[in-house]
Amino acid sequence: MNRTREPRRPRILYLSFYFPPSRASGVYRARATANYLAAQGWEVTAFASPLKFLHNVIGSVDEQLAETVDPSIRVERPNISHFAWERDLRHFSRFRGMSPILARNIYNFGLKKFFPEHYLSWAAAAVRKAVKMHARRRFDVVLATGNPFASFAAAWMIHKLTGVPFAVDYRDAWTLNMFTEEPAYEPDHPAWKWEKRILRDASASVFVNQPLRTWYAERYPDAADRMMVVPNGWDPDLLTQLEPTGATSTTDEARPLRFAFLGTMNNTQPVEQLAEAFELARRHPELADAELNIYGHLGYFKQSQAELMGRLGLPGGEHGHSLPDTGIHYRGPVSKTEVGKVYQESDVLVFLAGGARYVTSGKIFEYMASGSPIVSVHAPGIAAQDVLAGYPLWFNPNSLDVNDIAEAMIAAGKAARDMSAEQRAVARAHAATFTREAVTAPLEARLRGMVKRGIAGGETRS
Amino acid sequence: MTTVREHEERSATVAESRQPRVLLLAFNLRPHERVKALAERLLDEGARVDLLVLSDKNWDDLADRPNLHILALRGAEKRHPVMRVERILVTRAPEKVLNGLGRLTGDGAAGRPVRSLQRRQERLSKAFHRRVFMKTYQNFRPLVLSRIFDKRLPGLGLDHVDMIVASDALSVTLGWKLARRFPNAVATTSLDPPPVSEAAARR
Repeated sequence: MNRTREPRRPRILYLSFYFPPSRASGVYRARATANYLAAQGWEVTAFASPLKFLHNVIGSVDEQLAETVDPSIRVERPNISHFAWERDLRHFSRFRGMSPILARNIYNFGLKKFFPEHYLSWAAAAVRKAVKMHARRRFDVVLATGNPFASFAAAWMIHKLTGVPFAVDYRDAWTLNMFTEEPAYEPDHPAWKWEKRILRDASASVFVNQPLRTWYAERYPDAADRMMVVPNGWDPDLLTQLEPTGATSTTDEARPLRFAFLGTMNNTQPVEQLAEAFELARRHPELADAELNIYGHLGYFKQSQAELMGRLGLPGGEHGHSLPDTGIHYRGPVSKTEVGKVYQESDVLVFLAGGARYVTSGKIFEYMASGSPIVSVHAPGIAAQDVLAGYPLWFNPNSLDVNDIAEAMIAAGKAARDMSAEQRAVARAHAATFTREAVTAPLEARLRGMVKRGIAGGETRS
Repeated sequence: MTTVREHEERSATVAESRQPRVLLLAFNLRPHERVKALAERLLDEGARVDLLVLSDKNWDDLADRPNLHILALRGAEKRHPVMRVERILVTRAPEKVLNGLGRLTGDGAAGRPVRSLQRRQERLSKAFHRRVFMKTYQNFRPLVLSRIFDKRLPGLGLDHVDMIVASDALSVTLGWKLARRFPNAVATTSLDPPPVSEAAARR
């Protein structure tokens, strides 16, 4: 009897601590990558954070986003120690309760000796689980996304133990502080040693923009030929309601304009400049009674909200408008599946970002997909400018001076009122080059090239 | 029949008996600004705050607040058997032996080696105390402190506690023990705990 073996589907282990239902800003890239790989015929196993961590430490989840994960993706959740985050004394073990300093010293010794991140325990559990699963049925490739960068260390360790090739995806820089543009650690910090060995052995390393790739290529020239750029892109499946009902409709020209910021606000962003500039711009007749609606989370942790509310000039704990009325409203978080509606109801989008040269922000791709005017509120020279450069409705003050930002806001407001359907179509055509599918395809091809055995739709390399 | 006045007085009594009570444990000799800010916040929220400290030296600015009660050890730790035994064995006993020898040998040339020994012993004792004893003792210090405070707690009349905040590593052991003793209290190491009214409502 003549039996021909069917080529099998390539099998990938995806180490992504932040994965739906997490609502961390980096989760959309992880979701899109996993979904895209599954759609291209990969058998995807994702290792993600335990749900308990998302509920108790991060404090929020987006269940609707979890429903958008391809059902063929197997999600495993290795355990993580809550030592660094636990504040409830009742949850302390007897040992930690009776010997808190000894417990802390032992914990810190682990960070110093093995890996300098609180996610170390998750990485260790991920390695154990991966090796067990690999023993039962082999993985072809491991892809790790950071932060946390403990996932990179886990991928490296799995590679060392099993020989499976791995790639690392830098959603953020690790050893570069993107906001100060200085190295993030002292020269003798163990992060450098880890990064060096990881980039030495990784079959591919992926960055979100060219400046970051260049920074890394200069520091690790031996790995430069294996480095690539995969921009964040936007997700057409999550932005289904993009037709505007805003002030650009001819029926309601007198309606005050609606400006919107959508995303996670954080302490690195020029929040005060945004609030002051909007107050100034609102004095212009074109922007009379205009609103600036803030959608999303204020800070990454539940405790950070009050501080950012203060910086926005909103009264403590007030979930709504400012007093006296400056037109700024905090509207709270929006599920990713509902963001299309927010874009639909907004006339002008405010691109608020911290840092400069190395920062792209995932949000900007979605902003462009809306086809609405975009006002920049960030330091000049930000990496996102490379992406925005071809967008015809971009209003860039190129400064953080509140007067300049206010002028850009006024110009964007006027453009929103006067905008034609053709202008919107041209803007969207530019955004179409950044769909998640378009930007992830080269990564998929690279991963396929790393597979060493015969697979469906691929080649046997050895 | 209850008069309006009687009713108001009774309400006031109930309100007083329900005043939220917080145990704030701050064992670092120089408390962090955030710990002081928390104490102020809790007092502003109307709580009775029992502040447990090793020394009340750095708490002068809050000392006159009416709802604040400070319980300070004021050197009691030094009198704890562990510290006393170490002091006797490492400092006092060798000192006494060498002093006795010094008296026997007198101030002359014969006493020179003893005086040199005394100086060496002093240096050695200090070095041992700092580098060996204190390094080891640090690991057990939270336990020792919790036991010393435990003996003083009955004086506070803790019939109820709504919140326990262990503001530093040294105070964790006492906080952990108190958390078991008052199972309904919020027990945390966070310097940003929930409002006391919320904690009191949990009772």
